[in-house]
Amino acid sequence: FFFNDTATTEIYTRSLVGSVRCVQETGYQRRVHGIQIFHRKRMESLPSGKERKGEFNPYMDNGGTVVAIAGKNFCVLAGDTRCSQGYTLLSRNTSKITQLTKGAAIASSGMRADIAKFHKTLLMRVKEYEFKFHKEPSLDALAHLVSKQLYSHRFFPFYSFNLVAGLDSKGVGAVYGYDAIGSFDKLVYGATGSGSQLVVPVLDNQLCGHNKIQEQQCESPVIAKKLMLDIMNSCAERDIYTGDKVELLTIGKDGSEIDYQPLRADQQPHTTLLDTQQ
Amino acid sequence: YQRRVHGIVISKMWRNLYDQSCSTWSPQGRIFQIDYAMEAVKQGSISIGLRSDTHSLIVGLKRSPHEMAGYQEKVFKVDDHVGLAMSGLIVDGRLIVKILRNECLTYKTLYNSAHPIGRMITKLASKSQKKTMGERKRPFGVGMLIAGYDELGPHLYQTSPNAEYYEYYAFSIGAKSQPAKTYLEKNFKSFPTASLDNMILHGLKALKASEGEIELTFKNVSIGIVGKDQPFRLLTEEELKKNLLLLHQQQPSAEPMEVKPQLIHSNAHLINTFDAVSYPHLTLPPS
Repeated sequence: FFFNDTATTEIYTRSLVGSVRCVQETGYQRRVHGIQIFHRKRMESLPSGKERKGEFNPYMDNGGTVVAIAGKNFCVLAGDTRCSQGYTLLSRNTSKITQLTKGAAIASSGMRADIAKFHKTLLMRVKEYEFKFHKEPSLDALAHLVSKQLYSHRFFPFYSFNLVAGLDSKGVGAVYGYDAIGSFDKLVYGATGSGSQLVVPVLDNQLCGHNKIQEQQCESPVIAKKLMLDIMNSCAERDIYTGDKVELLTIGKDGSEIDYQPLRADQQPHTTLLDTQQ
Repeated sequence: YQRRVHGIVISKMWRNLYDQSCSTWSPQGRIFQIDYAMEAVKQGSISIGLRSDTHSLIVGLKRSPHEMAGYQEKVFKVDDHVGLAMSGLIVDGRLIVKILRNECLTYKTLYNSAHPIGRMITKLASKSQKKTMGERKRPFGVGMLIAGYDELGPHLYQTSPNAEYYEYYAFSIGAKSQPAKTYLEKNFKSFPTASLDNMILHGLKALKASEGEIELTFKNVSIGIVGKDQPFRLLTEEELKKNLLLLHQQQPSAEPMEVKPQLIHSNAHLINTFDAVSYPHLTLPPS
């Protein structure tokens, strides 16, 4: 069934999938004294989404935060490199950012497997575009392509919450934010992932004052990068799913560069057996 | 002469009986439809391919139907490490390019690496063979020279409508390809250690040997290069102009040129490969 609702897909993907309680009547029919009787043997009710035990849940949240800021002639994307499952750390060194063309990149948080597949699919589509049109897709074309790819999985969405950032055809930075099924909007800055709610208020404050009506684009990549680092560090302090390292991708008119900075690693310094042996 | 066989009049050309479809053998053991498809390749404009130990390159002569029209592109990129030149029915060739591009993309997505060239050729040969084995199908009418670089090094493969493929050090297909083949045969032993610039000049000279009458300009010549640390790309207009200039400086036209002592600079050793004996109609200027 379809919802005409302004709530985001994130809400209904997470809580509605599997949350409908199904009731199944098992029984048999018999004719008793000429009257058809339906004997109810048992009523089984399938457990609701949260209670499903032993049932396969196709989605998993691997945590992490990604942030993107668009400047006057550059853009910066930052993503932490931690991959987790519940309270377990799966990896301290995974990348959430993929560069799609010389002037655009995508950063996603959500389920690691879906992100990897989605980014690979996009790289393929970009290559097909280049073969057909003998040039790289513009940021706007890429933004629409991402939306189309997400919508093509409308009924089994990619658990991937994306930010596409790059330089548009005039050389001005832009960020596009998406939900899981492809609805998107052009932004000046965006954040998604487990720590996004900690990050967005800070960006609102730093980049456009106390209200969202006046949006200004950042002038200098140095300031934007410093802001990003501060934000990610603060996020790592309070969000358990964010940490280890932050991967910073700066896209400017001369090209792009990647930088890694350490974040709170949540590990105890201790000596291992190997250390003592030396 | 005409004969009546079972009441049917047969002309002396026995071939016509056995060339109606791909599923008919001739008494000599040939399938004429495939032979005719090979003829289509010979009608196409020339494509030349050559390789060294580090690079593989393909040269194509582009045709234009009319001086008001543009030129038909002949050299196509298939993936970062493969490109091809085609001779024959270009429309069939475009379909093959689409198929190969898809194969390479799928391989890259699945295995995160470049498609090995040999495997790609056998896949193409299988597809070509299917087209030769059916009542209502016809073979591809295009021959290709596929240049690529994979972990085994640079490759040059030739494919044809009869689904046979061979790997070459140097080859040429299409119209008037024999003079180019002769030039390549004389010089291919020096290719393995040749530099990329020398290889480009060899390719252009082979082209000139075949199509000497046509003026070779950056508009009707297409060169694709691929190799170690060199993803497949076509030479740009400037590079083509530069190389064609070098070609014209080293191969004099029919009119005697004035002697220029500074003619020979960086490519001095290439003069030795120009064998005046095989091209009696061209004479070297008095040194």
